Amino acid sequence: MPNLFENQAINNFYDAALQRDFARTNLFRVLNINSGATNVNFGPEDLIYVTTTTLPQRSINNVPVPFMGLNFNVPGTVKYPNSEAWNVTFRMPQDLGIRQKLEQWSRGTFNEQGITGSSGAYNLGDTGTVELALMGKGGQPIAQYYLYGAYCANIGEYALDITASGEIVTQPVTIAYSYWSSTLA
Amino acid sequence: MAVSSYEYFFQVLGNWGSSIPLEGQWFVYFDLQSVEALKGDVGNAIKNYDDYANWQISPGVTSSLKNALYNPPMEKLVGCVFARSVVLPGETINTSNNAVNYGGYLGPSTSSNREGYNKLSITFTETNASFIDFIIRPWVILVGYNGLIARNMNSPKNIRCKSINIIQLAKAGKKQSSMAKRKMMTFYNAAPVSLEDSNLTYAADGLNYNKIDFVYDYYDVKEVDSPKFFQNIVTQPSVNTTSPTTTRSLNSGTNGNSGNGTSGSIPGSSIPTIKVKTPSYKTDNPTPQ
Repeated sequence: MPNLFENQAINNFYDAALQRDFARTNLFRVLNINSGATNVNFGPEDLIYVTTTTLPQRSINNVPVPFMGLNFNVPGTVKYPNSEAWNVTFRMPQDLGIRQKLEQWSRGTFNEQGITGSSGAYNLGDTGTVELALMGKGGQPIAQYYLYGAYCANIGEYALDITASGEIVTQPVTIAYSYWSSTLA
Repeated sequence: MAVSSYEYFFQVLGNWGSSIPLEGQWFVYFDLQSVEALKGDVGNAIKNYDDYANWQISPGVTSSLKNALYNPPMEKLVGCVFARSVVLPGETINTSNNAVNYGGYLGPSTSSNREGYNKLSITFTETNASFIDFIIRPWVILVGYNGLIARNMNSPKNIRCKSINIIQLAKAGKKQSSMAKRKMMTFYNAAPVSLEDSNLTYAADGLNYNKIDFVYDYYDVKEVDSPKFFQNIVTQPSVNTTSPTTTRSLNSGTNGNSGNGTSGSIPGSSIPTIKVKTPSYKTDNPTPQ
């Protein structure tokens, strides 16, 4: 084995950093959230209010195969951890337009206040999609992610406080989806 | 370098033929087109026997549900999308230890008969256009009216499904991107004979299932893709029953040494030779002292 400093020394790190730079937590945009059948669409004027979110996870189920006391770990099928709860947080505009769209989306999925009992428009085929993008410093898209079968699972708490100094309200939202794909794979 | 039992097991798991299949990778395919009694208006078919019942199941719905088998199933690897789980029947030979027992000695095992076929149980998921109530339930009732008697498969009263196939899949490895069909169990001339009770509740949201039991005339098991993938499996290790010691060696090494250490290969990745001492025992009847 060669000396490890041959290609992993400080100067190698410096050269690589100059060439490749680093990904940054703020270099992302939510490009699209559409609700599917209820036709609630979040436009650029809404999505620019997104403050935080995460890239979705993907994992391979592990199948332990015990043999003489030792577990051999065999790769199984796929699952999407936390696909029932992908979180995104919005700043809230004063016209509450984002809140209004979220409530429309949620009630479009199931509404206990239907004219005759409850009404629910949504089947899986009526659900929407979410599109995320990671970008470089120049704004160029590097990877895009698509979440399929999305519906608004939870409109989070909208915190109010009359004693506070007027901070901007943020609105956490939980979206459930079935699976995702990306342009990287 | 000696190879431990664990390294050997790791190698065995790495071969397609002896690797572990995934339980959830299967599908079931009914040859529903062969069930003549389910063609056309099944509600009218029941009404022929039961004037009071007013079944209303349009042929279009029936046809659509049957088409959900996503043909051709053997290529699409989907089959009946409403099936959720299957209990495959086992096999039992009745045995006993018949002999004149003497002291602590018992007679050897003897067999009598092969037990009859257990039913094939398939659990289906309830859907809006109910496969359970629009296909399976009338099918069970028509089995009752038409009977499981010998009948031409083309008879409009035929309620037997020519075959129910349960295909089990496996990861194919680098050879192909789609799953491999590792084996197929086929049940011939099958018909549903029981549909379990359903339970509706105001409790939390959840899926609704029903278990259906099928009878059949006979079954068989086929390897499908296995021969194609089986070529590179570890061949059976030779077993030396005369050696007094248990040793494992690889790459034709002897005395438990490793192989030739060829570069680019996993050490000890070729076929091991296992020498196992097998205890000898007498097969004739012991004589009481």
